[in-house]
Amino acid sequence: MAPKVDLLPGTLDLLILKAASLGPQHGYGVLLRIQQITAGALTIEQGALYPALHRLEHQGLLASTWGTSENNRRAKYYRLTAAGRRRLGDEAASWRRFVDAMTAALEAGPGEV
Amino acid sequence: MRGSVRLWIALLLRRSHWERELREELEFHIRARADHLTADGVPPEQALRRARLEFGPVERWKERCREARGAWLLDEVVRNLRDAWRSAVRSPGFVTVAVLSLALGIGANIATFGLLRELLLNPLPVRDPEGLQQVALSTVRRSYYTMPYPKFATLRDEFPIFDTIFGWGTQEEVQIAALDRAEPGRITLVTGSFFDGMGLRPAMGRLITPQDDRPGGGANVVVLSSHIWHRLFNADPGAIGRTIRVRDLTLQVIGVVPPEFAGPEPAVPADIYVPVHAMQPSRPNLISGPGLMWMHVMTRLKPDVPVETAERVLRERWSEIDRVQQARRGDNTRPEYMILEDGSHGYSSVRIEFSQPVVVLMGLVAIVFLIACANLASLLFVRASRRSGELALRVALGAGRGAIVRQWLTECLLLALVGGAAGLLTARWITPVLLQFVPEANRGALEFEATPEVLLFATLLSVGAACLFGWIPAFRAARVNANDVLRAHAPSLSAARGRIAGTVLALQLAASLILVAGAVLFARTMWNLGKQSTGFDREAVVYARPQLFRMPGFDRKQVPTLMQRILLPVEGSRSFTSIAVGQVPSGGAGGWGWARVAGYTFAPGEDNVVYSYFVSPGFFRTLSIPLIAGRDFVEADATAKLTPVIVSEKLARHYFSGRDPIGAQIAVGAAPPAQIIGVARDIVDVSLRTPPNELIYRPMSLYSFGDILARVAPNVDPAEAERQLRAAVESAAKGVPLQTGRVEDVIQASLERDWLVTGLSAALGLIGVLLACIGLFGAVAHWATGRTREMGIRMVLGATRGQIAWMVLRQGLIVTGLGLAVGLPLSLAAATLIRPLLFGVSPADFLTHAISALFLTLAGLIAACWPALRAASLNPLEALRYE
Repeated sequence: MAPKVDLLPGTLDLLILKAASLGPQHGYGVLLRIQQITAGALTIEQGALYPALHRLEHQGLLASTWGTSENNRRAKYYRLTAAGRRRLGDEAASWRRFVDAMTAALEAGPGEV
Repeated sequence: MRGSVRLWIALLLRRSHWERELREELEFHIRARADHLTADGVPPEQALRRARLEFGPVERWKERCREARGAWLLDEVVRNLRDAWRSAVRSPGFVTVAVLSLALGIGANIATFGLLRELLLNPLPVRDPEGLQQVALSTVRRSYYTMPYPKFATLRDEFPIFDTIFGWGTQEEVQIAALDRAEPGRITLVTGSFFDGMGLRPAMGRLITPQDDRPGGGANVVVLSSHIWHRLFNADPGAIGRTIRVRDLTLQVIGVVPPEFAGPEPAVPADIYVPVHAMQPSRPNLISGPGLMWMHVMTRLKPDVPVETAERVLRERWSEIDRVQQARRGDNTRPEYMILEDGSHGYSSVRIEFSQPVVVLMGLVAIVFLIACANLASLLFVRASRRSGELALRVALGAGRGAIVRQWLTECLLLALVGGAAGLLTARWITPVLLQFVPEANRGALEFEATPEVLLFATLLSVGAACLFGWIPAFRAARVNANDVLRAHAPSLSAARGRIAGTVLALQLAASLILVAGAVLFARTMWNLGKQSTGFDREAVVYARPQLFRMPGFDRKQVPTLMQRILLPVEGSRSFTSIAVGQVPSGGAGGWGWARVAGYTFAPGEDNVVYSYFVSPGFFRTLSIPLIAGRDFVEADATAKLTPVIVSEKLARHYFSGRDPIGAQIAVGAAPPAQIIGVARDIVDVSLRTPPNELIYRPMSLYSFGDILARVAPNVDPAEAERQLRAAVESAAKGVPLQTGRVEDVIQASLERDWLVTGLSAALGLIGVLLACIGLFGAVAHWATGRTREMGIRMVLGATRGQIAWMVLRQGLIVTGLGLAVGLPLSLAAATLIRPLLFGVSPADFLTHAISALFLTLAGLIAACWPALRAASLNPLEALRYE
């Protein structure tokens, strides 16, 4: 497993949106998905997920419904809305731009300045 | 209204529903994680515990979710209220003391505010009260609010700038008789345009019009006030057209005024309204007397005329008229002006006389209120420190500081509102007590009414109180550091708290000192006034005031025979050494006018007002007023062609400095010139506070209408003498309303306003000290409790119980001392503000402030006594174990 990295502030929302884009999931499922897609490299405090989920729902990027889970318990499922999909696309694009810029900056050799 | 209640309920239900869902959601996560761990081989209970640990502080996440959701203010408010109620129920002692303090503080304010409003602030309930102007007669020295009818007639005829101009005057009390009932009441004589000018509509029938007030005999009609209509006619609509009898007049009822109009003078209820000219046949000089000042005059200006213009016109034109009149009279009395003053509140002598003391009272009451709030702040501090454990726990569990502050403030607000409600009740009880101090004549229709205005004021006070005492503890509570408190390591915290609590307490004591100093100053003023010499003997003189005119079938010509019958037994009685008829001096009951002395020229602006009294022979002897020149009256003087008069010392000095006044002539007002035959020592005739006026005494027969004054013989009990006098009058004039008493009582009655201020300030001072002592007691007790362990150690190490008790007492003294240090300069400053109300004592009087400081110190000692005793009786071993 890759070494664990702490989450940069603001990136949790992005991860949640990405996780939800892969299909409706309850909070614990979102957590598992995030661990999967980051290959466990990013750590988050489990409870911190929920304020973020509620915030995103309040902003209209996620929608929730109550359903039954795999082991027959009631759970709240979140799915991505159209607005959420759009936001995911925008945020991902700007993240990529940021990463490209940082990578370029950090790989600059003394001669290129 | 019902819709929003439904909305409330829906919101409440939705909120609790959402909370349930949130809890379920988070529980699901924890359980799912636990299942996951179990599946990986962790034993179930351990799995659950690990899952919870990994999840983090549930409460905090819940709180963040709530915040993310957006504020559900309504629900939080309701929840806070519920919690506040629960925690209040759990500590009844605290709540009782808090509510009591607030009730006293707020109640006193509401009662005084209500009184102030009634006496000073309420505009007349008429159409557009702001448009009313009072017309006052002004000289260089002062303004007179009454004028003679002829002047009113001039104003009416010569000044088209007034839209309406009207007048009224309230006469003395009479019997108003309907068919089978009679009530005492006063006649308010009104001019024809009174009701139109006031802008009143009748509640029934019609009101007096200019047609009813024609010269040469007005219509014999009367308009009833609402309460007289109730009392005499049981509110029967058939009262219109019936007749009532007043004195020798039979008047027909034509209408009733609306119940909310109590008369043009607030606090003096008008009973019946009669046209001025209806009284003309029986009292012609009301209309024609050029010197009889009895009418109040008010006017409404034309709508487009500003007050300043009207005033200018009034002043200029009146000066012209006055100059012409003076030239015709051939004298050089100084000029008079007519001025306009705001009339929207009606005329009120009470207002003018009481405005200053009531303002002072409001100041005192405000101080009491502040003390009560300070008390609460201290109590809340103690409460906060006791609950710091609970608060720390909540913070550790993740409650946001904002939420904590909001909950605290809700508790304070709830407390304040309950206190405010209790204050309203207290005000209802306090108001009758306050009214006891207002002179009876002026009490009128004043009573406590929970009008919307008063309720609003009470609410504002409560909220203000909550803000004052709730803010600081709330923020301090929010700043609590959970770690420190939970480890019971908070010396710095409680020290800081102690400092603020100590400051608050010191301020309370300082405020109490101001109140006590004020009370002592007023008490000393009363004392000085009581000792003040009046210039006549008030101890040994009794008086009788038979209201002969109230006798059925009264005829003025009967008076001499009646009085002879009354006075014969008194003259012969051994209980009295001297007897006379006149007026009890004091209260300014004399008529007044402007004096002219032959050969004396007035400087511009010089005051020439003199007051006149009608007295019989023997008046000066009876009252022991020395005659320093000339002679007393004899019976023949009353009918002499050139009226002899006696003048007071001050008048003689004014007009005849050095010369002998005996034999000179003096004319007052419109009366013919009189000849001076004697000079009497000055007497206090208006009030003990004001210097004596210039007086002129006119002669009348012993057997004429007036107060009977009798000097009691040296070995006779004045009360017994009074009884004899009363018996003599009653046997000679059966059934006549009679007032008897000692002259001393009349003097005391004139001090009623001062009694009001003294009594109330003393009461407020006591309340303030009581509140401050409660605060001190609480603070010292808390301080002592905090040092229980230390005291236990000291006792074990050998300190005596006395030394322990002294420790506590000393703390109390320190705080009291601090309060005194702050309070003394403040009370000196405050005392200068009440200088106009004082008499014979300076605001910076040393004795007063020393006594106040001593009293407060004593109170502080007493307050610290019980904690001291309790500390002294501690069991050392238990004390050591105290947490």
